[in-house]
Amino acid sequence: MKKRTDVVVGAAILAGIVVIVVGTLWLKGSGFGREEIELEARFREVGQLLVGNTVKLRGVPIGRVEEISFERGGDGVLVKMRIDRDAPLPEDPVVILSPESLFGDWQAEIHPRAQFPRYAFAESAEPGVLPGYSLPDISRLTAVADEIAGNLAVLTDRVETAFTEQTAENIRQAIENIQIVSERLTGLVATQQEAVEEVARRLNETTATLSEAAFAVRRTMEQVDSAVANGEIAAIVGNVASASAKFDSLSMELLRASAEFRAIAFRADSAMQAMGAIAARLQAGEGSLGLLLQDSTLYADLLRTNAILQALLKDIQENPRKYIKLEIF
Amino acid sequence: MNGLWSAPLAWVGRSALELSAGFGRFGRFTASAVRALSDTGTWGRQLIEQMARLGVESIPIAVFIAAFTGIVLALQASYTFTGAVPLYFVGALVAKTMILELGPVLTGLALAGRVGANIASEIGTMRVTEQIDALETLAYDPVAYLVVPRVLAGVVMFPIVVAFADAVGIAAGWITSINLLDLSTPEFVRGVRLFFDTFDVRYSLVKATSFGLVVTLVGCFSGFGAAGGAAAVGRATTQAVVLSSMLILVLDAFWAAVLL
Repeated sequence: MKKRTDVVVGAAILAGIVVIVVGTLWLKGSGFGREEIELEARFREVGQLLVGNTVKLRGVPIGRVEEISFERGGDGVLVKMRIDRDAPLPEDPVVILSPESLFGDWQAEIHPRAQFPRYAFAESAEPGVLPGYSLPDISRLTAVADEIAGNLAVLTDRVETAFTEQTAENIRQAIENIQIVSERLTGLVATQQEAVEEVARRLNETTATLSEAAFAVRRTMEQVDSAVANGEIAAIVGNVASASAKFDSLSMELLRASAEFRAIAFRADSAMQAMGAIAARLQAGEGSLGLLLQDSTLYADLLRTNAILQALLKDIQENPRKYIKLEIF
Repeated sequence: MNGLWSAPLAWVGRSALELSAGFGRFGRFTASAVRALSDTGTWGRQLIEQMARLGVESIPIAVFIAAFTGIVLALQASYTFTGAVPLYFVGALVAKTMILELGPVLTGLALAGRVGANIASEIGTMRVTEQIDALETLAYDPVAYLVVPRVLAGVVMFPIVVAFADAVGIAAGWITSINLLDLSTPEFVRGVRLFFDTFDVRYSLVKATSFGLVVTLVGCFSGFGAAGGAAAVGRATTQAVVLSSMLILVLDAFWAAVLL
């Protein structure tokens, strides 16, 4: 009886221990008899990831997160995972942490890097440590959505403030005005359509004319080209050079004449100044001529003298012997 | 006027003194039990038998309670989670609740009734029938002979019983989920594993150990304190169950505040 009790108690205790150990391992998701390997990845931060979260490859659970720790001497976080040895890891694998559902449970997914070329993975200098990237969690997305919602609320408030009855009436009026303007524009377009067509016709004609002109120009250019080719232009250029030389000579002559003319002008200017001085003296009644010009008495005396002289000459002509006595020897 | 105030004051003073005396007696009793641990020759022969009586024989009632608790948890969780929350959270709720709270506490309360009452009535009867005095006359340390094996049996076996209760509770929730709810085994297991941490198991076992200590120690103390006739045994039994249950709930809150 005593021994039976011992056995029963021993069995109960052993069974209890087995329940505790096996139950814990099962709940933890440990694989019994499954060959596993350890994998490590580096992240800048790990979001809501916890030890025990699932590791997936192409959506298939292949292991669990074993340990999360700060990187020694760095600013990263290292995550150790235990995964099935047989799991076919991709070329250049990376680990992405993401929410598994909307309820806070996260997962680590192994992907080929090429699948996510835009993600800035946290690289590690340690060999064998996979690069990792953590997606924003729901709370962050919710915060952004909340901010957007706040902005929308502000915008709505402003629209409500701005959009009064008067604003609505103004908008309605504006719409009516636009409608009227549109109708007028339609009429104007209809009216102007013929004019536009005429313009277009003339434009066509002008274009044809221009085409002809262009053709003529092209023909002229061809002729010029031909002339150049025949040496006519060279002769013309030679003639132009000769004329230019002559023109240079003429120019020199003109320069010389211009210098002489400048001297003549200078002398003329001096003569004019002298004439001015004489005129001034005449004006002032200086000298005989001035007195003659200014004093009528002198003029009258001069006239009388002249008359006397004429009478005297007449008398001398008529009676030379009276005045001239010619004796020879 | 003096009579009007003196009676309540006297009652308060008497109660405070009795409480202090009770704490003192309980402290002395606990100290004597610790001292009696060295008397292995006396309590060693009793230990296995007490483990069988207090532990192994308590497993069916603990498992029964846990099974129905698991069923109810699964059904109530599915009722609560209808709509936005995915149904696999039933597994998470059943496992977390069973391991952290209901497994240890319900088992502790059940064993407080079964084991605590058993110990208090047995030792109380021995006390009122002077069997304990006879043990002392035969040079047996009654604490080493009666208290230590029971307390040790409680401390060792309560975690075992609670482990069975946790496992059966989760299993009952699982069976309920796949039979009565639109939930598959992988979904339930996913939910169970979703928030599981090995700390949960340690927490559950620590609570169970403390409950075992309290239930057996209080049962022994109440039985040892019985004085008088059969009525004293009844009072001791009632006191053991009530006090153990209260202390279980106090310890439950204490461990939650300290460990979580």
